[in-house]
Amino acid sequence: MDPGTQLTVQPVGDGVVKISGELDIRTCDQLEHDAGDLADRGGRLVLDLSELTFCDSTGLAGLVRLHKRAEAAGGTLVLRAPVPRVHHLLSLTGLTRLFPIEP
Amino acid sequence: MASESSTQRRADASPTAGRSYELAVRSRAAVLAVLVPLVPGGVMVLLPAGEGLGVVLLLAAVALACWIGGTTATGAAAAVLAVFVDHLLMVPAPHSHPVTLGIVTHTVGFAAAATGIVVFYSRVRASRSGTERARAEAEGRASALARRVALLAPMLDAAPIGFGMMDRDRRFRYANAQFASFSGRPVADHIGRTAGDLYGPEVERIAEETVGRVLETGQVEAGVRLTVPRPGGERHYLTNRYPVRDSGGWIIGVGFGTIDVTEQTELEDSYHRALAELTATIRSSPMAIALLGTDLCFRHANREFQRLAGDPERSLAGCALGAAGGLPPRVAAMPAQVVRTGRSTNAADLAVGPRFVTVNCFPVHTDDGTLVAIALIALDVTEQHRLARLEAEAEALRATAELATKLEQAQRLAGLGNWELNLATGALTWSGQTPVIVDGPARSFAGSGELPVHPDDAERMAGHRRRLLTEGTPFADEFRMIRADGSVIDVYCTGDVIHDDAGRPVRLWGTFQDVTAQRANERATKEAIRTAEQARAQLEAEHQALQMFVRAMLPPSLPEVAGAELAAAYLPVVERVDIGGDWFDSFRLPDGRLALAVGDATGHDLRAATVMGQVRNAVRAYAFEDPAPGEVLRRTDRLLSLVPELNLATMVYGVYDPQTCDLTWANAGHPAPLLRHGDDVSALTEPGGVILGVFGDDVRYAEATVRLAPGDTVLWFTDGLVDHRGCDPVTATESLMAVLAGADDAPERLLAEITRRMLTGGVQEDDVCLLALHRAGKPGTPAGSVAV
Repeated sequence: MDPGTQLTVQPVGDGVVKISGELDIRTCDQLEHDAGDLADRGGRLVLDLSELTFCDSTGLAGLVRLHKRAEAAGGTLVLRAPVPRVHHLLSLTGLTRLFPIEP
Repeated sequence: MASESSTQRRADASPTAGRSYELAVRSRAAVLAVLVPLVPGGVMVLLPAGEGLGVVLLLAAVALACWIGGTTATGAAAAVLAVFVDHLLMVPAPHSHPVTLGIVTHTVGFAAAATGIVVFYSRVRASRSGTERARAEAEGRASALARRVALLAPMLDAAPIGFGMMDRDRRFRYANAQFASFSGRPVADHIGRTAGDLYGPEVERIAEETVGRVLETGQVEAGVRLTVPRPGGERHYLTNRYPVRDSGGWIIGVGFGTIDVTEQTELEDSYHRALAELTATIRSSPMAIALLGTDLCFRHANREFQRLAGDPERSLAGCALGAAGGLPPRVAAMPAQVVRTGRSTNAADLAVGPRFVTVNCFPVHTDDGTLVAIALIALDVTEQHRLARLEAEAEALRATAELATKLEQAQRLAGLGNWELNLATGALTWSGQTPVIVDGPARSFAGSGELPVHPDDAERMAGHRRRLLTEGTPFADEFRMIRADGSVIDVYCTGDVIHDDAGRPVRLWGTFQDVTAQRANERATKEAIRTAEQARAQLEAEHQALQMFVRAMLPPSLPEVAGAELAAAYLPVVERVDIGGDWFDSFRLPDGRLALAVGDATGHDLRAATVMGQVRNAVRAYAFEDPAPGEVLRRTDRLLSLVPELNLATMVYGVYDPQTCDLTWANAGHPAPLLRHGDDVSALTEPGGVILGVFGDDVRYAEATVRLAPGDTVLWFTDGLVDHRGCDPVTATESLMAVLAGADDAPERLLAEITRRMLTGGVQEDDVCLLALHRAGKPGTPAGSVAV
């Protein structure tokens, strides 16, 4: 296990949550815990991914679950400014069709 | 008397008649008196004709007088005087007396007058000639002095000593240049002047006093010091004064040789002053100071040194060193050692009676190195000694206190106490830490002399104690002790015997240490290790089960395909106990074609493995019903979407027709397969498709077909090969394409090479599955076409 994997979930106001670090099996639960309540409120939730440097398939699953929770609450989950590697993964898995992605 | 009697007689015989004759005679005599000195011979011729015998006698008297006095004014005067005497005595006689009587009286008168004149004259003459002789002698002496001065002057003029000479009138008769420089006036100004003229009344007084004394006594006055006030300040002179005599012993003046000793005098003054101060310093010094000659006799010793020698009142000057009884032998030996070695020596902290001294002894040399004396200086260091001793005692006390404190701290830190049992009195004592260990004032401990040992350990400890008492056998053992509050602690205890001089045991003593925490830690550590080992074993077992499960899910063998070779590899992360959801499958379809699938289920746990198994079985089932790749993916997506829990999976599924060599496939969010054709490698990125398990029913997966040329190779892989933290997935994919381009044709070796090149040299983060399809044949035929 890599103890260096870290993720910070920091609401920066105006429905925006900044996610920094790496999103994988070790940090996925943290994301869903920290951002889940915001997703459950409905409305527009923007995840700022500009400082998310790594994401694997488990991380994708976490994002999809958040999306489903936002959708269930009548809201939308928007991904903002993913780095190329994350954007590549979103494109590869076709999830760009699921998430509105802002530059 | 004679004059009185003659006057009497003339008064008796001189009537008025005799006046004219008398006058005539007197006039004649006066004329003669004038003429006689001029022409004595003429007078001598004329007179006998006029006056008879009286005149002759007169003339004879004159002649006699002239003979005696010479034909000078003195002779003339004597003749005149003789005539007057004769006249007064003899002239009146012819008138009253006979000639005979007259001759007699004239003769007698003349004789008397002549005798008187001669006597008188001879006296005057004698007197006059003495004075003149004296004068001549004085002039002779003066000229002798002048000659002497003239003779010596060239030598004295330039002498560095001030020479001068005064005559009896205290007037300078000589001064050389050096002497003149004392007054600052030219030499010429001195001659004929007095000291007062030159130096003023004060000096004149001094000069008069000293010069007068020499003139008076004729004694030499040597080494006279004079202090003369001068405009620039007082000057000091050292002068010798001596009488200057003529050849007859007559003191004609005073000579003096003088030097200016002002500088020397001032130097001497300062020297005397310094000496006086130095002497006073030594006398007042709190240090004992003594100076010895090379004969080791004291020259000086101050009061302190005398005190050191035993009696401050007893002067040591002149006393031999050996006779100064109070000095310690070590000190008394030092001067001799200095004389012998020529080097200084010292002795520190010598005990002299109740006092302590530090003594330095050193040679005293003159500038040329001659040893002239030995100095002894002793400093009383009794007070320093006392302070040092007090300081040492204080330091020792501090150290003891510090040690005690440290011991107390150490015992507290270590939970350590010590105990001591007096066998004679039964009294038990213990260190301050003991009550803490046994909880409270250790009453049971103190009261009984027994440690409150746990019953289980009591017998063992009693044995220790018995052997300690009877055999003197020390012990060190651990036991449990029951504290006042009922809790049980682990105690490590030692015991030993202290014997008296006769070898009898008098005391028992030992330490005990609360090791409860250590024991608890040790137990906890052992427990933790055991738990960890159990957990690890459990995980190991779980991992092995998962591995077995995964391997059970993967095909045990790959189907044979005519004209093609197939190879696969499953590469789990060895270090990890969990597993990924990577899988591959290949099976022959009922129509003879070959189904090929590579996928990745999200997660690394048992559920991921379960999903993987579900997907794999679903694919097999759907493919048997309808092998079309798009349809298989759509149905699989729907299957996963129906499961309440979100399960994501990616997969590439394709069908290869060995007859046509066509490969048809669809992709659900999985990394694109790579096609190698000749030297070219391309990624089969189109068509893409969404990941399985998200969208459900409304997703359709597009298909594409590529016809493989002979020698072409298709490689499927999972993202663990290119997507990990160590690199960028795009770059890694390019690397993989490059490796594929140069790899062996045979799929087994190709996969081995890819594994070696892509997964070594870094840490493999995720499981990887690889599947390679190679169409047999030589390359060079036209490239296969892709149809979507």
